[in-house]
Amino acid sequence: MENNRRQILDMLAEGKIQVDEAERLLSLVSPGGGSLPPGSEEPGSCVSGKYLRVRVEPEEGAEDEQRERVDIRVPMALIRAGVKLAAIIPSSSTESVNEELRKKGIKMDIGSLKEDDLESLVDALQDLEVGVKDGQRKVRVFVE
Amino acid sequence: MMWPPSVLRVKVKGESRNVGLWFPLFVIWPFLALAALALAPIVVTLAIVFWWTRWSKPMLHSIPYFYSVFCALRGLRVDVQQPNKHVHISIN
Repeated sequence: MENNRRQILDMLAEGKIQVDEAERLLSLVSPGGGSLPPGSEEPGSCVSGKYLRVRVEPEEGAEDEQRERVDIRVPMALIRAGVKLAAIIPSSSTESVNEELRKKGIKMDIGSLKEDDLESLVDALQDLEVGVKDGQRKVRVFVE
Repeated sequence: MMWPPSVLRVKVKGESRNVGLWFPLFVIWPFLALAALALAPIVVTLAIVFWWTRWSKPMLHSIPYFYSVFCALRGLRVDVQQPNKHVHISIN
């Protein structure tokens, strides 16, 4: 947790992120959304994200047709419920689904998806923010 | 206790006109409950009849699992903004 705070502060010092962005990130990595005073954190406690956010924003100087903003907020409960639903699909059918996913370039076995794995993934996502820039748009995926 | 979503909001803002829709999903709760009650014995019967196949377990679990997916829709929000159009869909 301390390491994440250090990284955010480094990014702020290097000018990679703005003050408000750093504030938001610090509140995300802090237990209880930053509302708890330092040192009051319970050992082993973990803040569980409620939503998976996907944001697409145009960058400065983007062309007019590229000036599209997308903000999607997916409840983590929906992802969990989807995984549970996928878990009851018979193995013969999961093969067909896997085949279709492979055709789309996604190599995964939905039959091996387990709720425990998802929980670990969600925990790992707490500290992760994916940011992609292509000169026209900025894509960010994070858990809040 | 998981509660199903109660309101669906759809807002579309265009150059010429704006549309705002508010669907009270809680109105369909009793109908969904009735449909689930009516379907339950059919699903159980089918699951017993097809016990030897791989589909009996999915059949038995389908109703509660679909219910949990429906409940989990609460909080879903999609917002797409273009220079001349804005679409917002939220489920609460």
